[in-house]
Amino acid sequence: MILSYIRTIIMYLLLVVVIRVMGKRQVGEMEPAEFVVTMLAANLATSPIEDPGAPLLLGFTPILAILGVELTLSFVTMRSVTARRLLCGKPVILIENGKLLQENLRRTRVTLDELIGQLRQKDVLDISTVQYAILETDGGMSVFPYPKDRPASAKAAGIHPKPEFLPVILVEDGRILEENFQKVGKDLHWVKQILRENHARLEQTLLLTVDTAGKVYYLKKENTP
Amino acid sequence: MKRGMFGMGILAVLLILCLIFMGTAAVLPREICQNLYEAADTALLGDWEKTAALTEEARAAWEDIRLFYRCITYQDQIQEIDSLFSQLTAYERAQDGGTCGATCLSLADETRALGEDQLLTLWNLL
Repeated sequence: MILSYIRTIIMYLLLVVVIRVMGKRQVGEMEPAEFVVTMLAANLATSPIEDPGAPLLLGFTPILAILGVELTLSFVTMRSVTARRLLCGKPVILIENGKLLQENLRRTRVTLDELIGQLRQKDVLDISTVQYAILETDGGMSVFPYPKDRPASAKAAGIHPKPEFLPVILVEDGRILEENFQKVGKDLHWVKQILRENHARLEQTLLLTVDTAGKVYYLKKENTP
Repeated sequence: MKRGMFGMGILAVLLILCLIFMGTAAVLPREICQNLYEAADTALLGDWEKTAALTEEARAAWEDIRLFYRCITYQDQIQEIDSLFSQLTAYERAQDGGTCGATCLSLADETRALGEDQLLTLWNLL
């Protein structure tokens, strides 16, 4: 029992390191090869966990080999268009200039229900308002309505909103992140002043952010004395 | 670029380590097999002194490499060999030539299989 426990932790840590090194994002954004790698690695990790008689190397070796292959193929696909087409495929246009390309729909085995469902997820109710719909290589769909049907941008409406800046976290869960002070030109003295203004102590602070325009956001922890 | 090189590096290092393991795993059981084949012959001839010496050598050699194989192969195979060595001891004491010889041969085959299972052959690959 203890063997399974320790092996589970070891294989879990190995998988986390492997996925982290691969630099992958969530499942929905994976290319086919990346999805295969994730599934394979997960299955391989269970072998030494489920069978205490199997050596740990039986899990390590194939997972590391998969990591090596994945990183190498990523490198190759970055350099070669042919390799990229071979491994990742090409995006396929399903709707072009408002016309549903039925042959492409058949070729990609996307049903009308699936297409309409994807359009709904992109806040499109009326298929006739779609100029382009493209099935991407990761299985997602890019939808571009006709310009007249798109939500107006501030520029199109002649509005000039104030510029927005990225807020920088200076205090998180009661801890001061001093490495971020330089990004916004603040210091510890300034943080203490903000805390005084909010009648709070550091340990009562859940979040304190400020952007380069000086806009401050302070959030106090709930249920703290 | 860096990740690509890192990936290729991992593959290269793994390949080299696997080849070293394969070479080592194939060579290590040879001495044990040789001793056991000879012990099988001497047991059938009734030379129990020589049989005991040869099996003791084989046992000592097995103890030396047991941990290595424990790390690269299934526990079942290791336990099978340990079990056969225990049986061999009993048959030597009973001076049962036929059974002792047969056990020596089984043990030699099992030990040889440990090494052969690690070789890069078409049959192993399939």
